[in-house]
Amino acid sequence: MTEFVGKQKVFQSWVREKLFLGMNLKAYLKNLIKPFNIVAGIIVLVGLPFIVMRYAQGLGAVTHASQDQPWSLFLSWGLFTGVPLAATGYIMASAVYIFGQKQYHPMVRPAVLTGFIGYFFAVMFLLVDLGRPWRLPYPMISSFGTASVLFLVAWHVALYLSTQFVEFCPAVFEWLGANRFRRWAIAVTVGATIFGVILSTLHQSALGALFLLAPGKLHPLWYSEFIPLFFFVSSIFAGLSMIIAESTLTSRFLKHRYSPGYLARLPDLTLGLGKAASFVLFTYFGLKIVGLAHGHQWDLLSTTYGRWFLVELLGFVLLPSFLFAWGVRSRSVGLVRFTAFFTILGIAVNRLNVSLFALNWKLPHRVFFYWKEFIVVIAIITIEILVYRWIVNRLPVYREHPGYRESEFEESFQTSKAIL
Amino acid sequence: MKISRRRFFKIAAAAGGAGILGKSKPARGVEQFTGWPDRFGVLTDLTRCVGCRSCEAACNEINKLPQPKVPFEDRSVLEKERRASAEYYTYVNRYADPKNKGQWVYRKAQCNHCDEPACASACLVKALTKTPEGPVIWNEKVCIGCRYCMTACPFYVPAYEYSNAFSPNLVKCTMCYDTRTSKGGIPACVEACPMEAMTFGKRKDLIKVARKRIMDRPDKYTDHIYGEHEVGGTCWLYISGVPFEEVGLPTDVGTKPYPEFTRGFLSMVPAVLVVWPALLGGFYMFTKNREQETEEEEVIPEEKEEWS
Amino acid sequence: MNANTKGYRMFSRNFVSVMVCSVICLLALLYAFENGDVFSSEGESETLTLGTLAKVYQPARFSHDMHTLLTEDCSSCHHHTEGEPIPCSECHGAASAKDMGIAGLKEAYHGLCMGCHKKMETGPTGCTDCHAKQVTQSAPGKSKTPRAGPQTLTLSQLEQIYEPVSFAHEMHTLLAEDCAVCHHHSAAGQTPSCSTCHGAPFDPDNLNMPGLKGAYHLQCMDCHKEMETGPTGCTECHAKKVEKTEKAKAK
Repeated sequence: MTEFVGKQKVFQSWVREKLFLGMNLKAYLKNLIKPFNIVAGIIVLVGLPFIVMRYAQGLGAVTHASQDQPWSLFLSWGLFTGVPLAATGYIMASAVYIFGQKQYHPMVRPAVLTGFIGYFFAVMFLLVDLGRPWRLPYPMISSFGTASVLFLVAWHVALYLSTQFVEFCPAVFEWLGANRFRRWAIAVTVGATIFGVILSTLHQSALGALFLLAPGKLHPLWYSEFIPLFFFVSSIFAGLSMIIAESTLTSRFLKHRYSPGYLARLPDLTLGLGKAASFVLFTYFGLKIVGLAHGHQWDLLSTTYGRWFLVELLGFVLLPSFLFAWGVRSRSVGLVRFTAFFTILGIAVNRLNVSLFALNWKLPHRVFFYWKEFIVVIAIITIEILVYRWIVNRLPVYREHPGYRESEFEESFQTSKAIL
Repeated sequence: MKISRRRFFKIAAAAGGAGILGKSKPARGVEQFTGWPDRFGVLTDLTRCVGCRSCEAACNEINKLPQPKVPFEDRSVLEKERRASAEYYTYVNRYADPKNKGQWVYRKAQCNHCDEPACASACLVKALTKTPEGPVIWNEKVCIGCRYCMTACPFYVPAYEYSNAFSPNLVKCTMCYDTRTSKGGIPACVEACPMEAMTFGKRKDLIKVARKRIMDRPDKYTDHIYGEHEVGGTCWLYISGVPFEEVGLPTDVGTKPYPEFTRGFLSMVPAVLVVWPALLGGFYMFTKNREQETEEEEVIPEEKEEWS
Repeated sequence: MNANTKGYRMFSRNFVSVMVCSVICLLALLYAFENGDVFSSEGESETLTLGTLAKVYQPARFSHDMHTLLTEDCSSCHHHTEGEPIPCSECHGAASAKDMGIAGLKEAYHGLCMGCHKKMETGPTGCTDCHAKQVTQSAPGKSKTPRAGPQTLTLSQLEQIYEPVSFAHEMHTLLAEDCAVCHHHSAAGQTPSCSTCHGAPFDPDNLNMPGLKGAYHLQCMDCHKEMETGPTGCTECHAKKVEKTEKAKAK
């Protein structure tokens, strides 16, 4: 009897420590009542009925996707924008583990987490948008349409999600105190990183390649043989900007979770990322010019769509490139951070253009937004933020776990030294 | 913990193998279509169509589609240009005849049953397939409802049952495959047409018939068989007395079969799967060696001291 | 030389002669058959049998003799040959012909014959000028006068869906001067019923020939449209049967 009570007590203390941040249930719930939580809670509560409606009454109840335009905001935002913004994982991991930029090591875990949560919720959006979401595994297990680019996307997102999870595992195992698993997870980090970069290259560009099948439907300024390359390169600076943005927000609102060392180095690291982003943005700008020349599309620039294209290209690509460069030169972390948010907006603009606005540009009557769709999207994004916060509050993401003071990087470095 | 070199390579190979899995033949769907020279088709002669909508009625009956709000005898629906819908497989539209003022030209629209369908190459679960008899059909058992086929189709043909929560179907003409053409019959709409505006037969024979009609009456027909080469060839062909853009048929779809558009990208996949690990592995070893060297330089003096 | 040898020699000599004679005869026969075209060199007019279209047309009458008088050079018709003219079917319609891009027999006949007739502006160029359409027993070959024929015709092929059509035949005979306006593609003076030639549609061998329903509608309504008179709506000629519509509504 005492043994059972003892085990129960152990379990209770585990729950209290791991899940309730060391507080008992009552104190924890009281702690939850904060302005941000209330607002987030309202948004989620408003959004949930619509999500239920989607499943109970069919897609038509919450979206105005039509026979002409089957893809609406769920995919335009959730998949096409969400995925490049979740490119943080492979960029940071490859920078640190493959290209040897050790100084960015503290940023790896948050980046991998952002990436994992991003892809996970991209899949959530997919589950909302698919006509038969319970058949999501079909391209993996049931019927293989290997001529389809979407088949590639499906496989790669599934594999990449697993890879990101494996890369994040060290943090999970540290939290759970599972040493052996943790060591295994660290040992496969380099392999997982390489695998992640391969997968990312392919599926980021594949998301663009999807539109290769719509030459008559996508406006010629956005349609190009180079779309896969455009999507891949833009995912790089999307990921960089997202890391800057995420670190900006968390260093402000979740400061207490940061290790002081990381917090101190953050401005320098931010500037470094800004430098990289500026460079990649400029390269992307060059690629876009090449694309214009290749397609002989200069005359299209004077049309309405042409002007919008110029806004996207000059305002959301060239301008951030200069702003980043200026911010780095003048060592203004604030400017770099602002530009990061601005770039994220630019990514959203580009992806929404390709998947929504410039698609079916020739059709006379089009409906883009439906307010119910909008609510569901906002609700899911809020849930995403809440999940991210929940994890960061408990797991050693922004700081090192006290039990594993020695940097995991040093350990993986030792391990890989043994291999080679 | 130290991992042996062997074990590391095993892990990497497993990872790489998993990545290559299922992608060994990237354009398999396209390669499978060998041509099927005896495939059937339908030739629609737009000079004969009078917009009576008997074809729509027959299609509705044979496919057990829901009864429309407006009966088929009612031709007032022709006043508005209709598009694909989840409630019907085919529809007739009315257009102003540019050659005769005040007169109308009618066009029946339905799936064109392309020889190399964009939808079939787009489908990631191979729910859409081109049959040897000619029709392109949809398999309800595997469709996941991603609607990529709808984005891919240049003719805006497939429609989706957005209002159906638990088994939303893709709605498009099947050329009566299950009920008729797979068993040697002819599609219901073709049979029903009083003016025999549609002719059912082998596609290669229909091309000859179309050419003959155009050649016999060059004043009556536009000198072009729509669907002969469009998007690589379709099994539903049109000949018309007026230019095809006047009857709502897109004339800018080109002659390149749509699966070709993504073939280039898909063939890049194996290349990346081979080059990237080598490239990235190389980078990794390069940076490791650089760091190892600096470490060794630190170690050696110590050792020397020990010896002396 | 002993008796056997002599006898053997005699036999062999005779045998050889017999063989030589047989071979010569055989060659002569073969030559005769080869060049013995279906056209004989006598004065009778020969008939050419058109195989695949025997269902549709009666045999064509071609006077070879008359044509030999028109030209001195046989190769005007027996083209692409030297020396002795060979029958058309030797090259046209042969199995290997298609590969070499040579026209089929029907195309060759029509191409050569009518091409020349058009060029010389003489000779038949219409279809039934050379070969009349096949006419069945039921055809009213008896009616020689254009204005004869049934007064009304009842067309009830789609009787499940539509009431029978009461077609005012006599009224139409007053409108058209020539029977061939409606009874087209028939030999002169013939007025076969529509179903003589128009049967089931979509015959793979004759795809361009409409079936009976299509023929009725195309013939009737095309004329009504062109003349801007006469019924063109569906139920103007045949009312819909009520039971069918009600059955459909009950579904």
